Amino acid sequence: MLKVSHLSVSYGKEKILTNVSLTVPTGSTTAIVGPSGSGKSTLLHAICGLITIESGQIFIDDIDVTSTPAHRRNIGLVSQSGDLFPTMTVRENIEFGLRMDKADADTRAMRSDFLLDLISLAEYGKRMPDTLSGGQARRVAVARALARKPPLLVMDEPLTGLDAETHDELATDIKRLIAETATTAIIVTHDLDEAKFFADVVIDIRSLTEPE
Amino acid sequence: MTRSQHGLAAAPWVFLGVFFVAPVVMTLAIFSDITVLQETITNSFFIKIAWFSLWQAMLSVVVTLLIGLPATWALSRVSFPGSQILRGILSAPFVMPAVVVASGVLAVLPADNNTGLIPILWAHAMFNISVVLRIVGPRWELLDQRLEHAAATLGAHPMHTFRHIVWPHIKNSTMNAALLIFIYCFTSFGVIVIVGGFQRRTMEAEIFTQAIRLGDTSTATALAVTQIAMIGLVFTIVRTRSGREISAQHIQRRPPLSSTTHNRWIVWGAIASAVAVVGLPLVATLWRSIYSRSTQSFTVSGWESLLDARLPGMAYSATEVLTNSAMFALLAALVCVPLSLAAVVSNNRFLFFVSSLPVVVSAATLGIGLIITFDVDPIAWRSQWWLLPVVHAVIAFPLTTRTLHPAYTAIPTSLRHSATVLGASPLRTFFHIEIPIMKSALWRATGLSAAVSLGEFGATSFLSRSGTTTMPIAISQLMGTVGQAPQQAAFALSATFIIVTIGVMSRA
Repeated sequence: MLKVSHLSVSYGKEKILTNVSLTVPTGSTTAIVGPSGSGKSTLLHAICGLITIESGQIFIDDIDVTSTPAHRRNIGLVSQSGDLFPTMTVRENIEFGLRMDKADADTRAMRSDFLLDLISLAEYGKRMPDTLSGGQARRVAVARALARKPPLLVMDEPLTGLDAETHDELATDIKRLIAETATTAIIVTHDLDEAKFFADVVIDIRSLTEPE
Repeated sequence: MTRSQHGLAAAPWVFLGVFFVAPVVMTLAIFSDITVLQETITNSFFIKIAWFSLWQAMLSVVVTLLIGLPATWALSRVSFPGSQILRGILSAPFVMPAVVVASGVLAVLPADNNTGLIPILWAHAMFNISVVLRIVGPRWELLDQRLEHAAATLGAHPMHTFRHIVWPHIKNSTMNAALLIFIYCFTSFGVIVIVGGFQRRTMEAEIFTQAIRLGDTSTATALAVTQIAMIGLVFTIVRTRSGREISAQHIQRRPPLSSTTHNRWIVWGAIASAVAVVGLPLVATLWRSIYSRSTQSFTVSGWESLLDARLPGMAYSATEVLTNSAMFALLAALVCVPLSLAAVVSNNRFLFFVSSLPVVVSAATLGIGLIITFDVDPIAWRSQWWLLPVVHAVIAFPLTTRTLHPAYTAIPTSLRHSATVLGASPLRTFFHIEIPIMKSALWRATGLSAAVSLGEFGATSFLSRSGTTTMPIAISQLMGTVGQAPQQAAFALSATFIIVTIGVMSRA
């Protein structure tokens, strides 16, 4: 379970998030919606530990991770563009997190084989990211994020910039991946239909701010 | 700035502080005698030298732009077979020592007319066309062609299109290139030593004469201060006249030459004039290495002397000189590139500013500073061989930081975020993600620092001792020695450098 309590974030003098609280139950998928500039991505970055927060606390499975550096939180992140590492093959991208955990080669290969099968790209392990289509690259990004079996997967507009057909296919694939890996997930989107398709609960970010 | 970034900034700060800031400040503090300064700037001999330094540099800028801009236009806006090779040829002199470039000009002109203003301008243009190509070219390449087409359909003559559409887009980069060329030419030393003759001297050459040949450090320092002030003045004037950067960028394919037939002759004319300025001296050097003017016959004596135990009239061999140059280049790159990378990653703007100062402070000023600062125990390092590659690294620092900076800032933050959430610590993100992405920029920076070291002449002239002679110093000494044998050896040594440079550049 993820619990965010009274979180505030500022960039310089500008308040981005003020006194935000949120609870995401284990095994559920929560969609956070809101207009551009409302702080959706900032909330995800704060949960991941990628930005410095002004105040508040973040708990994952009842453990306070507020002061834990991002690389020790074990949260899967899928960003808007996928962000595959351009100098690594598809398989190396998927295995990257496991390498950071010092997993042995056999364990890494087994996990990446499983995930490549799961995203229907078993033959693409040796390909470089720039040879993939937009949809394929996003599927690899999701597989990479799931490789370490994170207790929480966060996705920041993962379907942005795709054509309609790829968008629908990928949406179905991501939903299937989340279900098959039984991962707790948060998805940020500005599209309400997309949010309803993915999530058990849809929350408007503006409703997360508690009066002080 | 994070704590780790502060830590990263420490190493380049210490390096630049000890080997650049301290020597320059020490020189100015100890020898800036106001009386000597007044005497120097009112002395008609020095006023003549300062005036010549100024106007020859301005004329060099004009000549270089007149030849370089049309060639840059042709290579940036039109695609044709062989354009990459031509770009390589025009870029080659940038990584060659000024003395090799100057000896090429010496080789191409008749013996009774190969020193003076024309050879100086030629050598400066030959060296600096690549600066125009490197700075203005990428900007011109990105100018949205649809804007020019729109202007043409609205009735604009090509000259009007240039004035109203192209020039505002390339003005800033052209001004930047002009400023850099001015600084290189104003502080010209190697070129002046070889083709300046007895009449033509720049302030940089006079600083060397006063400090090393006449031992008058106070006058040399007064000249250095005047030189820095003049560069600062020109720098300020150019910067205040540079306007806002106008962005009309659009990545596009260059149209093939065949589709612009009416431009064909203009394109070839622009390219041919630049290639002639750059290529003729290079070819003439190769020719002169096997042909003696004095005997008017072919000879391989210059090449043979490279294999002898000593070069003609010198106390060292070609092998020794080549080994020194190669070793110093390697060490300079090993010092310069990691420190530049640390400076870039530290993201410290003031450090970035200080790292660019070696461009403005001339090599001769730095040379004086080094021999003064490192002359007392426990830092009496002026005779240590390792000071040469360290100084070469200081001089290469502005170029390498500016090569690495765009590559580093172009790495999307989201990639770092992805690595971090996958468990990579900042150090592992740096080595696993950032370094592989920056690989080609790191190689470019390594090549540049090695090239700067191989060609460095100004500061090396101050610090070079027996046993540490480098290739440019050897070429200059051979050129300055009377007789056919030293001249042939100088051309053979220059030819070796040209062959190696073009070989390396064509594979890069």
